[in-house]
Amino acid sequence: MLDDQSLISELARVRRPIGEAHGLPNALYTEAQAHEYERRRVFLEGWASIGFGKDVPNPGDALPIDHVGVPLLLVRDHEGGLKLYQNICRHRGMILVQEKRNFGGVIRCPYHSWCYSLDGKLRATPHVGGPGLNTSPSIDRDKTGLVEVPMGVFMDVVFANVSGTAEPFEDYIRPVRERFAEFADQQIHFGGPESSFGLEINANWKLIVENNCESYHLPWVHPGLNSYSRLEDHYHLEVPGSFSGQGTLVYNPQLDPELRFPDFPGLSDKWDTAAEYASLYPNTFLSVHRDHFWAARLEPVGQRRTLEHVNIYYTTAESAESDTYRPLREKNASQWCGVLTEDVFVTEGMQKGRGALGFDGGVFAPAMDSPTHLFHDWVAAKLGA
Amino acid sequence: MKPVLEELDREMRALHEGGAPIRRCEVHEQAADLLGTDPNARRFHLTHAFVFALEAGDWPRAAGLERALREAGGL
Ligand code: FES
Ligand SMILES: [Fe+2]
Repeated sequence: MLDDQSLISELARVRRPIGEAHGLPNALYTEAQAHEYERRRVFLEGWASIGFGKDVPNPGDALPIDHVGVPLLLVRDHEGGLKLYQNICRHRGMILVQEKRNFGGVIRCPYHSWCYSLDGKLRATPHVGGPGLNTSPSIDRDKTGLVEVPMGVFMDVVFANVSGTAEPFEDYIRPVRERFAEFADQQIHFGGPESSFGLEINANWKLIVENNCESYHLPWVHPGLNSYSRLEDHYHLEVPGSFSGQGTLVYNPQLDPELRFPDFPGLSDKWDTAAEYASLYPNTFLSVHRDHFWAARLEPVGQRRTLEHVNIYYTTAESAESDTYRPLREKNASQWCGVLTEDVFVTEGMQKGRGALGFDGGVFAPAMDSPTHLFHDWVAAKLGA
Repeated sequence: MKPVLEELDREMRALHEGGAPIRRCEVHEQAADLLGTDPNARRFHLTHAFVFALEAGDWPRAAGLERALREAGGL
């Protein structure tokens, strides 16, 4: 059983200065009630990533998404814009769309065939007034359309605030948009199937975030990245309340002796050798390099299980789509998949460690762990500490 | 049932598995015509034809069926 009083005092301890702070309480990794509380406060009442624009490329594409148990429907409308709805019929609450597909016309509910246009309007209510009678005085079609869910898009990542009670999306995204100003409005091109991969991790989503935040582990966990992994070549990204992470000063891609991905146009000199890896709270990784960008979304499918969806984008249609660059794209993806896979034993190991009785959340190394502490501090604040 | 209706009935069942909204629309249009002397049956099948025209995204056809439904008192 969850003891509220001790949870509150443990959360308060997280928010102390880093040298005195402890990590988040164990209950948040192991107790169902704490998980439910966190699901509501962090994932439903705030902004969280729910998918990618590239998943619905064509007008009429519709993708059902289970967002921590909330059924959502991401739609590409006929004008090419994105819409996000609750994936349920306003009649009896039937799930509208069960698998990804394209709609040439309306979305017809599979139960009693009420029909919704892609803009969410209720278009037909067959037999609603009795057989062959399609209107009813008590059903106002204008008030019975699909329920829109507040959404925003940044670098093709789609974010939702299911409760509708969070700050405006522009405010949520501003800090990272400013940090990545040179990338934010660039054209990005999804690299196709070979540039998309997923990891299934038996660990709480927070452990994956905290590992992504810090460079402390690089020389120990990623030996293959030797040239990038020297600690002194890394720096922290720290924007309290929004994101934290790491940057490298020695980005130097060497996938092929001859062929190189083209760079984004107009970047400042800094990016000749820098790359940055931001963990945007709660569940999004944004990673910028002069010649590619990758984004990952953590999907918590349970308290101890997380799917990590990774997508890589390039700077031109040619480098993203042509056969010439395909081997390079494959190599880049497999390199990143390798690196992220090297992290799995750590996140799963920390999850197992959370089974220890009386674990106090651990302590932080002030010089190395401040991005991690910022993340824990943000979670604690969201949970009311 | 008249043979032509039996044939339509068979096709409706066969199409029930999904897809082919245009064909489903046509089958119900035919049924609406064949059973047109019974206003209830006609409205019923026009309703289905209308829904499947919408599902197919055949907007002119849906508009025509919507008009027919209105005239038949179904809208
Ligand atoms: S539940 Fe959708 S039409 Fe009845
Ligand atoms: Fe790592």
